[in-house]
Amino acid sequence: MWRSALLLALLTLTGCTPAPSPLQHTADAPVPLAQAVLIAVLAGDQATLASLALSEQEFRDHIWPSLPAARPERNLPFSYVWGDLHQKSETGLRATIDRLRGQALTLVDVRLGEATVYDGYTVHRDAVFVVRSAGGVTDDLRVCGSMVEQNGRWKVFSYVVDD
Amino acid sequence: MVHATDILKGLTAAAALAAAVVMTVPVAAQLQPPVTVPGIDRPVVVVTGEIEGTMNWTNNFVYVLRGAVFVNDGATLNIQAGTLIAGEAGSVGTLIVLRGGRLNAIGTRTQPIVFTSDQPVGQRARGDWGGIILNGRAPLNIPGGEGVGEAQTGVYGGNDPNDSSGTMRYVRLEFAGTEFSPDNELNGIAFQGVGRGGAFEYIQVHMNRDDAFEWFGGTADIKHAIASNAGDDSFDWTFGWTGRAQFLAVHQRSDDGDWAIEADNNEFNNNLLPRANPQIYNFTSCGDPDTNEGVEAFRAVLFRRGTAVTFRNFVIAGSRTLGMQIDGAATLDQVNNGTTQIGAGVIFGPATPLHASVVPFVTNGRFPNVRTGVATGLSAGCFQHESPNFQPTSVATLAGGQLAPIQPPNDGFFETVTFIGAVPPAPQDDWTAGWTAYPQR
Repeated sequence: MWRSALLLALLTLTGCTPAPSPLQHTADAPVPLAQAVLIAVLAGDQATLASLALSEQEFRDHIWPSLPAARPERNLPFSYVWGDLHQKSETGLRATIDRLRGQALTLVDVRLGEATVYDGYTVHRDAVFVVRSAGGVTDDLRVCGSMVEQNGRWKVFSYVVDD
Repeated sequence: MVHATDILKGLTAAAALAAAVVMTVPVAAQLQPPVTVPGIDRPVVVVTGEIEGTMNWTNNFVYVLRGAVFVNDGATLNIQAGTLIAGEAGSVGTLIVLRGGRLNAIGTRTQPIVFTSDQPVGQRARGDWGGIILNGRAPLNIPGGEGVGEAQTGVYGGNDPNDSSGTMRYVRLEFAGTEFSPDNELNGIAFQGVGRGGAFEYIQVHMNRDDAFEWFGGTADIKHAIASNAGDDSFDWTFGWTGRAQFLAVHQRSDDGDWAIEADNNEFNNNLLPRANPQIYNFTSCGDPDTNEGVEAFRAVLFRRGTAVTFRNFVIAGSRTLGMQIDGAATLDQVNNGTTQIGAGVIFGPATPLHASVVPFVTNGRFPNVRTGVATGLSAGCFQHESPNFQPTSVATLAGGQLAPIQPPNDGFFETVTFIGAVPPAPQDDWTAGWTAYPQR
């Protein structure tokens, strides 16, 4: 738990760099973000994991307005879209923790899939964590869904892993 | 074979349609007066907002779903046979039936109801529009008994297994499955806590971006269903689905797609109740045997995360890598305690027809009559993306004539069968013919 807290503090500090982002608890690159996520997952630290992903307020204020789904003609209430995403994210996260908690894994790298540019931010889809086990075996893990990048700061979009 | 273009001459004039659509509609309106669109043989009606009371859509119009269209609690939407509904790509048309609402879309073999994209033929693609979401009041195993939904939208689940969300019969749905947001794509048809009070028969979901059919708990039954060219799983369930299903056919394409069946009880807690335990009889999966278009869709059936299942009379072909897998202790518990029943089926094509988790049960007879060394009896037409043929050439060729089906319960839903697989061998009637279509664009 203390390692996660330390990482969170470091992430928060690095959030005070000249490139401002309204998102909290961000990282300056995908790898440190993934590192914080992986450590928290292995520790079962749900509070830290929640802070590393978009909150409802962040989604409403900074993400939702630029999503195509938010256009008035789509008639989609924010509450519907957020509720659906959040439910799936929570479910995915719990399943991931159940699967990985307590394992001895270290992050080697992160691979990101297609990038979609929205007004004000970019979503990098299908994040794959490349990890190494205590025995030295390297493997790919899906721990979160997409990552969002805003003004050079990175955060987890959701923990929905479409497996 | 009936194609959308046969039903709606001139849908290729989508630019004109789009122009007309853009001109017509203030968002607050629910049903706009029909407009004439050059190149389209029927007046176009744009639908937005919420449906209250009873609304009837008839086949002398084309209906365009603009944005999310809600069928509210207490409302009923009736759709006549032969009606074409186009989900508007620009606004991601989506039809959402709330708890207490009903959708009665009843087509016929010669006049199916078609939900499609409003994009020009040749330019349509997976994810052009949203799809159909049905919310009901049947039980599911999310703690609290309801799916999380805020405000008055999207809440599903309850305690009425006989709840009805309406009836769908002879319905095609294609090019749907857009995303609400990154990481959240829509299924072709999502059965969310839907009860068994309605009926779902002769339904095809084609070229969906995410799963074709997914059940989130509930008790809904389905019969004669086809999932073709899905961008993810073809049939998927979670949160405790306990319905019945007979005659399910899958066609996969290697450019995208995943499992033919991906089945969970509940991924958070594998033993939550009511446990997913559908009864499925007569299933055919034509997995893509080659990699001409990509490397996806290489595996067929996965039971996991605590689901139980009755899975009888199946034919699994193609699927280059894996035929069937049972994953996780809670899922295996359902086999060992006698709840899960699998048997009478043939798997031919995957490099590993049976995962190591399944082999012991086949070897010791717990899963009777599962064959992996005989041809399925399906022709190469099973793997043709534009016109898949699910029909075995004859009884004699069906698994070498070796396999008798296991008869389903005589409960008024299931039909007595003389064959394994979703479609009877020739010369019996191919129920997939006459109302389905497999356009690639």
